[in-house]
This record gives sequence, C-alpha cells and structure tokens, in this order.
Amino acid sequence: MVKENRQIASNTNVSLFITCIVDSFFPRVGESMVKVLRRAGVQNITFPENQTCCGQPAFNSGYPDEAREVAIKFLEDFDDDRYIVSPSGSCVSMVSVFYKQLFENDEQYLRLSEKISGKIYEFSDFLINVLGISNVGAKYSGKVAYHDSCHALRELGISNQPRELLRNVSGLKLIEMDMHDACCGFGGTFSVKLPNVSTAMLQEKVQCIIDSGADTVVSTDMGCLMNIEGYMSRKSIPIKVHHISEILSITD
Amino acid sequence: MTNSKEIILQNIKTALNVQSDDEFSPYSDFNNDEYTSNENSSDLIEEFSEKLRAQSGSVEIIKNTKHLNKAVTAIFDKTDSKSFTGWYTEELAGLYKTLQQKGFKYIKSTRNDLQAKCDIGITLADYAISESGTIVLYNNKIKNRNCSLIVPIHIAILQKEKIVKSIFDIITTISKDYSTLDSINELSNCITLITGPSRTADIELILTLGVHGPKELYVLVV
Amino acid sequence: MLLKYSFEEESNKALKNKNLQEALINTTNRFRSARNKIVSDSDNWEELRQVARSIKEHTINNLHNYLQLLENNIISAGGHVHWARDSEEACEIIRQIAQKNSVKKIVKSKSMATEEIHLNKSLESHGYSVVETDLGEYILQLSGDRPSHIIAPAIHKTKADISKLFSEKFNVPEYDDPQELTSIAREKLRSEFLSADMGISGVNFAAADTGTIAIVENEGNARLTTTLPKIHIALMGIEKIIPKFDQMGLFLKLLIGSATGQKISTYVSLITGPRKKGETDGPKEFHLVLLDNGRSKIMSNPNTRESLYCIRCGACLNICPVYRKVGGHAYGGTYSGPIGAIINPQLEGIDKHPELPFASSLCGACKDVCPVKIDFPKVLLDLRRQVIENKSKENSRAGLIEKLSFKVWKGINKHPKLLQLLNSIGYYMQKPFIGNNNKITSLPFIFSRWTKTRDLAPIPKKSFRQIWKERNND
Repeated sequence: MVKENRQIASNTNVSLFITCIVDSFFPRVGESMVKVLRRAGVQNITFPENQTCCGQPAFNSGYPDEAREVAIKFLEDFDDDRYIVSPSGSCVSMVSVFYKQLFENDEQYLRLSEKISGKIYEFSDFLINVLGISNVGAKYSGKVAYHDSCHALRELGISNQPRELLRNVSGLKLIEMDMHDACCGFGGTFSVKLPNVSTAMLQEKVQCIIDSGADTVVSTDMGCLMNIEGYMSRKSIPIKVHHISEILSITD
Repeated sequence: MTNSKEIILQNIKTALNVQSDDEFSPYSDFNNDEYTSNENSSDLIEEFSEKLRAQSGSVEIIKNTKHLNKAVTAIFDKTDSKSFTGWYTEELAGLYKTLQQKGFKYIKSTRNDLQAKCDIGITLADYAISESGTIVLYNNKIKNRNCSLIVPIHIAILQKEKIVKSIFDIITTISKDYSTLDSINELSNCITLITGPSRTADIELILTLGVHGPKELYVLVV
Repeated sequence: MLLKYSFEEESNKALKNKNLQEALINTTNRFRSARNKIVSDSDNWEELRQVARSIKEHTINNLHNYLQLLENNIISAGGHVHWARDSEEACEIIRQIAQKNSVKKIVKSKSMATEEIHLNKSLESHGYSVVETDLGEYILQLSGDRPSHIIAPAIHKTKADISKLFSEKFNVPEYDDPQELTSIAREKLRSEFLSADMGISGVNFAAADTGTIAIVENEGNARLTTTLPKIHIALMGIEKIIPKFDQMGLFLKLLIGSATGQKISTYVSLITGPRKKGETDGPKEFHLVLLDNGRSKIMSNPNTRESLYCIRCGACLNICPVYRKVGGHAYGGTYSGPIGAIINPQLEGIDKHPELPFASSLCGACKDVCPVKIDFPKVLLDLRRQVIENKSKENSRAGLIEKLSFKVWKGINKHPKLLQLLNSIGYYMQKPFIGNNNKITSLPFIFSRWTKTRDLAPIPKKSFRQIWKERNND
C-alpha cells in the first residue's frame, strides 16, 4: 500500500456502524471489516456501544413514526466528527438518502442528518474514496461473481469500488455475471410478505450465479447474501457466499 | 350552476393550492433547436436509405424523369398491380399520364370504392428523417390521407433536399412551416410520419408485416 | 359487490403458469435490450430525461392553464372539447355523441384510458358494436380477456392460443404461421373500418399551444380509426398534455425509445382537429374528451404528484423484477408493473389496492429507466404509509399484530441492552429449529414464509457488540 494512503488512514477516525443484521447474525463480517481497516492503517476505531438500528425496516413498511424514533437515536449515537463506516449499502443509504424524507418536517434532525450524511460510508466506498486504497493485500483463490445490491448501486452509486478491490485480490478472478444488477428478491419484509415472488426472483439470481461459472458470490450487503445463502443452502448448491469484507480480510 | 369543466379546473387549482389567477407564462426553458443537427441533406441520403431498408422499406435513388417512370413501372410489374390512385399534385401529374399510357388504371382518390379497386397509392414525401428512415407527409386538400393508408402498396417520391437528420430537425421544420402561414388549418391538419410498411409483433413477438397499413413501401429519391 | 382480489394469490397463480413465465421473459428481455441499445446509441439520454421531467413538473403544476389553452386551440382548429370528471361521465359523453350521430359501429385503436373507464362494456350495453383494431387488443376482445402489458397487451397468449381462437371465431383452419393469422385479422378488420361510423383513439401527447395530438403506432389501425369514420373521438388523461408543439420531438423520442427501443414507431400521426374545408378524407368531426377520473386528486398530494408525469411507455414493466415474474393481471387494475402499483391505488382508492404499494422490493430499477424520472420508491413509500394509516382505522387483526410488532421493534431498538438480551435468548430458543446442516430450516409464524424455501443462518453465540466488548476489556 502506498505510503501517502497510510498517512491518510492513520489520521482517520472511524466509528463502526455495524447494523443490526451483522451484529446479531454475522458478527464475523464486522470483525473482518475491522481487520481490513486496521491493516489499511486506520488506528482509531470505535464502536459506539449504544447503537442499534438505522430504522429502515419500519420506514420501508410504512411506519414512519416508529422509524423516526429509532433514527433519532441513531443520529444522537453517531453525532460527532468521526467517519462512520458500515458493512451495508442499504443501511448507509437509509441515513444518507432517506433520512431527508423521514425528517423533512423537522429542521433540527434534518440538519443533523445532513451533517452525518456527509460522514457515513459503505465499507468498500470508504476504502476507495476516503482512504484512497484499492489493494488491501488480500489473497483468495476463486472465481467470484459480484452481486450489485440495489440500494448500494442505485442510491449510493456503488459499483466500481467493490469491483476494483476484488480485482486487486491476489488469486481472485472476478466474473461479471448476467443480470448482476437485478434484485435478488430480499427487499426486507418483502421476502416474507410475498415469499413466492421473492423466491422466484431469487431462483433467477442464483441461476445467473451458477451460469457464470463462479464458485463464490460476493456483495456489500448481508440482507442480499443472507437471502442468497439461504437458498443455496436449502438446495445444497456448493457455491460460497461472502461479504466483501470477508474476502478482503483473508491474507493467506 | 357549475359544469364539469369548472369542477375539474377548480379541483386542480385546489390541489395545487393556487391562490389567485396568477400571470401564466408557458414553459420556455426548452429550445428544440439546441438538439437539431442541421446537417446537409446530400450527406443524409445514404443514412436515410440504410435506415428505411432496415425497416423493410424499399429505397431507390433516381437520376432523372425517365428513370423515375421506369422505376415506378417496374414496381407495378413486380407487384402485379393494375390500378393506382395518388395525390393530385402538379409534380405527379406527368407520372400519372405516363402510367395511364402504359395501361395502368388511374382511380380518383375521392371514390368510395377505393379500397376494393386500388393496388397502389402514390404520394410525394414532404420531408424525410434520415436517422430513422422516415418519410413525412403533410396531408391536405389535394394530398389526401387514404393514398398512403388504405392501399396495399405505397409509393412515395422524395426530393433529396427535403431530408433532415433527426426528429428534432423535423419538429423545427414543421414549426417553421406552421409559423409562415396564418394557421395550422392552412398547412395540414394531419401530418403523418411513416417508417416502412405496417408491422406488428403481437403474436409471440414474431414480426409480421402488413397488418393494417400498406404491406409495402417504396421510396424513390429524386 | 366486487370480490376483493389478492395480489399474492394472483401472483402465485402467475408463477405456476409456464406459458406466461416464458412469455414474460421473452417479451421483457426483448424490450429491455432494444431500449438499452437506443440509450447507449444516444449521447444525451440522461439530459433528455431531466429536461422532460422538468417540463412535466411545470406542466402539472400549471395544468389548469394548459388545459384551458388546449381547449381554445382545439376549438380554433374546428374540434370539440368535453370534460369528464370520472369514468361514468366519460362513457356518457361518448354515448351521447354516438347517439346524436346515429352511430351503429365503432372502431377503436389502442388506449389504456378507454380500458380505465371500461368504455367497451358501457357502449356494448347500450347496443353499440365496438371493435378493437389493434391486433393484440382484437385478440383479447375475441377471447374476452384483459391486457397484461401496457405496450404488448396479448403477450400472455401463445401462437397456438391465437390460432385456435381464430379458427373457432372465423371458421378457418388452425394456421401455424403468424403471417397467416395476421392476414386474417387484416381482412376481418378492414371491413369493420370501412363500415364504422365512429373511431375512438387514445392520445400519446397533446400540445397545448397548437391543439395538436400525437398518436404513435406500428400497425396502422390508429390511422384508419382516425381517418375512415366520419367521427373521431380522442380520449385523453388530463396529464398527457405538453406545453408546446416544439417539445414533441423530445417526448416522442423518449416515449418510443423507452417503450419498444425503436428510433421511431412505424406511424406517428400529428392531428389538429377534424378534416379542414376542401379535404376529401379524414373525420368530419373531432372530439377530445379530457378525463380526470382521480388525476386531480393525485395532484393534491405533493409526495405522489409525480405519478402524473408518466407517458405510458412501459419501460418500468420491462425492468421490474416483480412484474417480470407475475405479469399484468396480478395487479388487479387497468395498469400494471411499477406504474400500476402507484396509480391503481391512487385512481381507484387505497382501500381497493392495499397490497400494491407492497408489491415491490423497492429495488429502484424502475426509477433508473423512467424517461421522466419518476421516483417510484418515494411514491411507493408514501403509499405504504397511507395503507398503514388506513389499516389502523380498520382495526383488522393482521393490521394490529403488525402495528404491535413494530412498536415492540421500536422498543427493542431504543434499548441496546434489551437487544442484546433478545440475542442471547434467541440463541437458545432457535435450537429446536436448527436442522442437520446447522442452519435454521424451519421457523414459526410469518417467518415460516422464509424457511419454506430458504434456510437461515443461525444466531451465533456472541453478537458483534459482545465480541467487541470482550476484546476491549482484555
């Protein structure tokens, strides 16, 4: 890694926004993310321990009042000058894009969310665009298909960042699968409200992964990956499912 | 007593929270001319031909009047056509005379039995759009609609100077033509843009030609 | 009393229909790749979209002025303008014109607005013969079916279906060749056109400053419908208006490119009123019927007002991962796909379509392709809020359970220690649901809808916050 980048990294203070899914179900993703940040030279990493959720599940389900209360707590938990880094494009977009809608009638929290929006980053976006690092010294032998998570792609414009990082992983072959930007069918509560439609969408996504010849599928969001992995597991499809932080954390 | 018009307009004003009848100025931030290309028509003949052929239209470049007559007669022979109708314009009168001399029957376009009697319809093309292979017809008193519509085969004669590049160019052209006359009523109440023979893909997305409009389109560029 | 349809039930049926699934994939793939080519060949597509959106925004925000301007110019051109508050009134207006002119037979070209007002049913019940002339719509009329796609209404019908249908209706052999089938339709419909007293069309765009309407098609049936009969009635949603004729190029390019991926459709008709003095063909009377039917109500909600920018291209259908799996009928209304999900509830009432705003994973692909940049996710979210507000007035059991769940969810997420406790409890409570592969293979209540087709990663013993706490206490 270039010396200047390490300079940037060592001067960067990061607060972790782990997200409820990663906290409860996939802590290893959070651990991998921390490992990579440290390897990249970020020394000052904190975990605001009061954090819980960004409020998205309630917001998306039509319960703005409940979402707002949880969102206010989020803003208060993360109200300082540190960068906020998260292993989820979906949750970051909730804060940086949708809080504007949630707080449109509340001047105080609108301003606070604007301030925090400027500081919150999805993990791969943070590495590339804040730390200026595209090679984290990782190794992974495998053919990887990258799945574009909907919110990460369409709300945050995340597309090149994870791909660049993956391309620089030693031994990794990046494959562009067919319909890589099509929704996997998760959509939060959508997956249980319309399970048959969700599963049909998921089947199509999994077929694209299989057809690509990849042995691994990677994305920036555990909502998507939990969904994809759930189906692969049920059907005993031996393709590995990893969050990008997990791939980037492997050095041997 | 309020009528539906007043109710609808009031509903709209209420929905928009319109306080009073403010000064209204129509949208002026869009300038169609910014999107025109103003390319020279002689450079566009090839593109026009290519694009129309790709839409199953036939295009032939014509050198002179003799060649035109020959080309039109060839179409009649090829399609086994015996009768025709056409726009009653000066430019086409000579052609019709020649065709009649060759034994092809001319049917007045105002006849009620045009559908039953007529094999070919002949018109001019007032303009053409090269990027899409489109011809543009200004229908009016002597240039009626049925000549390019109700007939199974349509022949259009196009002057090459009348080819413009894009849809933005044609809109500018039509707008200019409208503004040089007192009202649209003078120019044309029905302008038709035609790009090839009639088509559909409503049956399993399989392309078929000649649904309702003409099955064949021949454009002769003079 | 109308049976309340269920999007979930209809979509389940659609998922099991193999022919439909194949048709949906073929149709949407074809339209999508054609549109993609138009976009990639264009060097300013994004700019055009933004300009179009700005024009639409301005137009809707001044709709009362533009409608008045349009009416003035249509009348100057020798046409008539009628205003219809709702479906019934629109049908009544059209019936009265037919009655006044002793009309017996009516031909129609494709118009979603006429579907919306159930025009055919109204006319037929009053004794008029109505013939759909767009091939897809004609097929549906013969089979008693409804459209399933905005641009290609009969995609759910196979060639074999159509062959059998024509054979039954016209006493001809069952032809296999689509060209043959098309020729049969051409012949049958030509005689209808020639004997029709009245033609009814839709309107793609109406330019307020000249009173010109644009009709876009490939078959030629709209041209015949608006030329042969002595009366032409054009039905138009009030939002289809554009300020100026010189914006036609922009909107035609965006509409046609987005809908079918063509540079231009085979025929575009720019019509200003009836035939003028001295003309020998064309309709003697031109009537424009302006349709409100709930559009002015949509305007009163600034969060959803942009639903009215829609130019009915169908691009959102072709990219929607939900539409592509369930087709048009599942949406239970005139319109389908993302546009259907936002306007069916707004035009017909949220209580009639409470599931539609949720018939989406909020992926946002529709927003990406919409030529006028409608922010579908934003509108869907507003409609979801409305559905929930309505539900709490209804006091249904399912509604109360969900409301309570989110109150509990809120409580837990305001208290991290409670969240942690729940994690620990969950770790132990999940054990009976874990299968041989060390994954959760079944779950109770609504969560069984997940585990029916998918496993779930089990909750690990330690959450991230626990691991972090322990590491930092070392």
